[in-house]
Amino acid sequence: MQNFNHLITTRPHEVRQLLISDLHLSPEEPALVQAFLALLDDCLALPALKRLFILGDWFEVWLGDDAYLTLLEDERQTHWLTPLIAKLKQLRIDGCEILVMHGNRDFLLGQPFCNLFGGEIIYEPYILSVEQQSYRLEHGDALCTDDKKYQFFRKIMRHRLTQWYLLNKSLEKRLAIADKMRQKSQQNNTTKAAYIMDVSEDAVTQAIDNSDALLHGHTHRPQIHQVKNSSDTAEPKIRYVLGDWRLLDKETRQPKVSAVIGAITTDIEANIDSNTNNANFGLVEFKFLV
Amino acid sequence: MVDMPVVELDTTMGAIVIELNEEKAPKTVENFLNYVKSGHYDGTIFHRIIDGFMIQGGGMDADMNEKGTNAPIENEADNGLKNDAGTLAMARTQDPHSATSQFFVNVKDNDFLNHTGKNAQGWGYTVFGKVTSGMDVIEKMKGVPTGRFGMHADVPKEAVIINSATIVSE
Repeated sequence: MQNFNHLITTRPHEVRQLLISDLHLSPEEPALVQAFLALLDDCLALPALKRLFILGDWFEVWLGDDAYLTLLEDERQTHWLTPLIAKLKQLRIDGCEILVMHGNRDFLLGQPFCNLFGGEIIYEPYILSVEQQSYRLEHGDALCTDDKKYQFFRKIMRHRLTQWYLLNKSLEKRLAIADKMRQKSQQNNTTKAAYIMDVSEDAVTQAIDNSDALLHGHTHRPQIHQVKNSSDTAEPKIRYVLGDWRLLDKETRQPKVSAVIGAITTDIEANIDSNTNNANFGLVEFKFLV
Repeated sequence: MVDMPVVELDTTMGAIVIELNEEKAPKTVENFLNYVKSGHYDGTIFHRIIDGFMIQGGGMDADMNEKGTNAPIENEADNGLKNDAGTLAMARTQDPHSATSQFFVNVKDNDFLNHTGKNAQGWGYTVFGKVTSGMDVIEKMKGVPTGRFGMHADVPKEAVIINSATIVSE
């Protein structure tokens, strides 16, 4: 798999859009936070980057925008999210759109928080057109249809009323609820068969029907898959799976963070009005030495 | 009630009339009017247009050469005015007090550009006026095809020129 560093040092002008997901950032994972800040620094140096997609589970847990928005100025100065917001804001000012999709962990993330850096909440499925191709973007948890228990739980959690109910509870209560939910989820996962914790073939076939390709995260199993096209004569469609952000080699002298992310590159001479297919959609490995 | 100076920009895509808030941004408005009076804006272009964000101009000529400017001015973004759609604000570098002649028109409510504190990250961008006539021209401008020009991005492929900037009332 191509290395992100190699891509941005050899063809910086060609990197147009980046897609990431499943960072699971929290103050308990400082290496992951540093790695994300490093990615943002790389983005700031790219002269033609137009969009950064964050496709869910950006944060390990999100109790509500108020957790940050109600902080006083001096409390914000020492908060772990503040450097993130500052770099994202600069990225936006430089002309890059920041599009944020909910995952199963951070579905309470709101537009008010995104307004701090000029980001925009987008909803799944998000159809991205790249020249002649249409890509369906989603977090991925909705495709795990074999996990009936989870889909039932998801339906409740994503409902407006549930979110209204949760956001009306104090932050303390929400933290307690989140802890309990996480515990229960971990318990359940140990008893579930592996196959139901991945996307189901039927769900994928249905999802990809109206698009040329599908991209998602959530499963933490980065890969490029070929999906059989519904019409026998046509070429197979492609399913891209983004990876989670992992801290590797923890016990060694050089731990590193590794993540499989999506990158859309175009020919530097590409004219947006032309009909030729100059764009390339691929997965690259982002590595950060801690 | 203090009278708000009014300036008209005659552009290749139509006329835009702006009302300047002298009360809330006195140094910025004075600086802007000086550039108008000296004819600085005549022949400059809107060289940076990002749909869904803002249109920026007042610093480059049609050949993308930067025009000479006066000394930079103090940031007045703590005046309470917000970078809402249709407002005019001063462009600047990372240095909060580096604005000279370039300005931009917000085409969306850009909350993240507002003043949050007197520090490098929070100073924000000074809002000093708003478009009172010609928002339809702004709407047309924001959708023009753009591309790269040397090290500049989001440059309109066909130059959007400010033929003249004139003071309607002071």
